[in-house]
Amino acid sequence: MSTTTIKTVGSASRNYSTWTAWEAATPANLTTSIAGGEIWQGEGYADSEFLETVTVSGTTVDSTGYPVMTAAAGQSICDSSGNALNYNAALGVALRYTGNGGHALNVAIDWVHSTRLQVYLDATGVTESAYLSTFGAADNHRVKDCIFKSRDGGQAVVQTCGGTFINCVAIAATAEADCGGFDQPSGTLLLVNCTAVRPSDLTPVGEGFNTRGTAATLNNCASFGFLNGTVDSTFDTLLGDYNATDHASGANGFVGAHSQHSLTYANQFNNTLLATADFKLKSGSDLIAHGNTDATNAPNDFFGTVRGVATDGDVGPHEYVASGPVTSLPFLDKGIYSRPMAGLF
Amino acid sequence: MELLVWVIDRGGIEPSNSVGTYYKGDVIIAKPDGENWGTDDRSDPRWRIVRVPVTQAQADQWTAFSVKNAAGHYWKRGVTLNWAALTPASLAAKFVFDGSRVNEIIALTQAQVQSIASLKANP
Repeated sequence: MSTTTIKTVGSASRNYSTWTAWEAATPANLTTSIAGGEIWQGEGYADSEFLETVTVSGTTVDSTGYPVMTAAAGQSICDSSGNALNYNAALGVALRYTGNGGHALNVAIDWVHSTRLQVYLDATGVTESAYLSTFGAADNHRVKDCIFKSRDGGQAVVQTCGGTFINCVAIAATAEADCGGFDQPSGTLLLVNCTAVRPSDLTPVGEGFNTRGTAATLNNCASFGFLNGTVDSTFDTLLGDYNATDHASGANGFVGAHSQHSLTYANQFNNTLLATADFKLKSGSDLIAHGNTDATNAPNDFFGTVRGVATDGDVGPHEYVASGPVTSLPFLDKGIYSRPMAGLF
Repeated sequence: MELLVWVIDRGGIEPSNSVGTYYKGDVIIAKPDGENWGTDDRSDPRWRIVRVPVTQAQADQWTAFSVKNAAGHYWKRGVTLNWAALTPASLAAKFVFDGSRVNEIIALTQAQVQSIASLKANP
């Protein structure tokens, strides 16, 4: 049985002041460092914004031993009632990279789990991603409840060679030419309740989901503001259903008999403008109750709200609650009643 | 700037098509003077903290990847610092790994760091 080693990351006398140092300290072989495997878990604190580029690499991993990057209880943007499903370092653990020396978060080994984080590539002209899983076998890495944002063109906000993404948002916040949402160069990919958006005041370019690996399954996913909903290569097997986009059906639309096409972008989210974006669902959104809840992978939404059963569930990371989500209660921001850390994966 | 540096090889794997692990002489990260280093940042016997009067841009050169080889593999840090070449010997001794660590910030000049810095050969 695996043993979890928790290390705190933050600027207030935590174990490490940077994610880079936390990663550097990872035992070189997590499958043997502790008998039965070691889960090397970094728990971030929102003491201040993390301004760095992080590369997770050089460690032997498997299903019993792997790194986990997450936010401590009450420290994630998921825990905040003010969350607009947009990057906001004031509301939770946030990693932002402003340089030109790499991706904001580069996951170069398999099995890495990332959850409850915000990751922002705040640079232009560098042809990098907010999140990259390096080419190779990475089908077992998992990402859940994360916001990814990039101002850079030339490469998608999230570039991943497989793995599983649940309740994630990719925001292509750039006027540069070719910034897509999720790009899958290789591997086998599962996307559940993920949304790719390009603010509506930017010229549509790129694609929400570019699937060109071995296989990709997209369920309850949304793409808005791009030139194409999906672009699927002939090498890839594209599966899934209950997706939604403002793109027309057919070529570069979604597969699935229940997927919705040609939706009006402005009708779906609270605010779709670059400067004031709020990608939570608005009343009357076509994404409400048009999903098909994946009770195994995504029984709760980004905020912890229990999704509707089966086709009562919504598309994307946010489950709309007409009377206001219970997370609007102010004491929830104190971390007292925030989501449990266990069972996130 | 304050640098968190390795004084021993980390161990680990070097994939053929990606970035790998850290080695003795690698700079983990560079942060502005006065960084509130964590408890493990300050106590891990495999690391030291060095203060050197350079800009962030200059320090970033020491934390950059190497160039990629034909197989797409690159070192996690393209520059290595040869601690053994520091003079006097008492200064170099501060960077010898012996399983312990004095919790101090070691001051070096820019010239001292540049004199021991070199690009790694391609992987």
